[in-house]
Amino acid sequence: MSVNKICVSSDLDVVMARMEARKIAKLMGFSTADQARISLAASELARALSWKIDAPSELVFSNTSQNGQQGFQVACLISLEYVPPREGFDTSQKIPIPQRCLVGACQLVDESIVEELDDQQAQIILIKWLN
Amino acid sequence: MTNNHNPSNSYRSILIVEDSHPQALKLKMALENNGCHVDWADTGLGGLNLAQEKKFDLIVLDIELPDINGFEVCKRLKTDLDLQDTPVVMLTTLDHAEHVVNGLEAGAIDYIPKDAFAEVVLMETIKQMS
Repeated sequence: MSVNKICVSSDLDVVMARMEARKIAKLMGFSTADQARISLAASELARALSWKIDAPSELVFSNTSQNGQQGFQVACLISLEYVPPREGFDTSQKIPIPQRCLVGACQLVDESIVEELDDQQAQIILIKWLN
Repeated sequence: MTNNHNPSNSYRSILIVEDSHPQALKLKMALENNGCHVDWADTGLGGLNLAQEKKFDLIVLDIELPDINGFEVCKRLKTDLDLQDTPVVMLTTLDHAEHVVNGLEAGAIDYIPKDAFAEVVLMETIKQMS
């Protein structure tokens, strides 16, 4: 399994995350439309991470497989306050940008796993399967 | 004067469909500084007409246009046998996931949000097309 890491501490890193994700997706053989979905999901995740930088965050790109199917995986640790509420959003309120980015990123991939690690952080894993 | 000419983009012919004149001009200059030849239409139908008149290597399409929207322009391009192979990149302020999915389903190869780095991302997309 190959692993690539992008440190996210500025807006420019959002662009770097997008480019790196696209490059890997292209190498893995994803279609151009899926390369776009993957790169946008990665940049949305990076945008959420870059929203409030207390300490540099990291996006981890890797390939994954399940039942012989190959997939592209992007993972990160994120502040729990950015994780959208399980019960959904109050539509009368404006959705905060980091949460909107996370929701958008999840909609662009096949699988999204959100795991609360403690009362501060959650792990986000997004997977796009190669058809 | 700084010469940003990038040989990998040489002779690329690009059509910008963008109703905002300042944004179109900014993008045109950035692309031309990178060795591209650029034509510009400020309406969806104008863009379709130009695309039918001339062969382009890439079409950069805004979504919010004064006549027909960018999704519709993209769909029409993709159903035209002479134009369906021309790659389309959407460059827009509409950055919700559903817009992205709509754009890609309409046949765009990429969807770039209009932010401070939009031109950098577009150049990278053009480079990856080479």
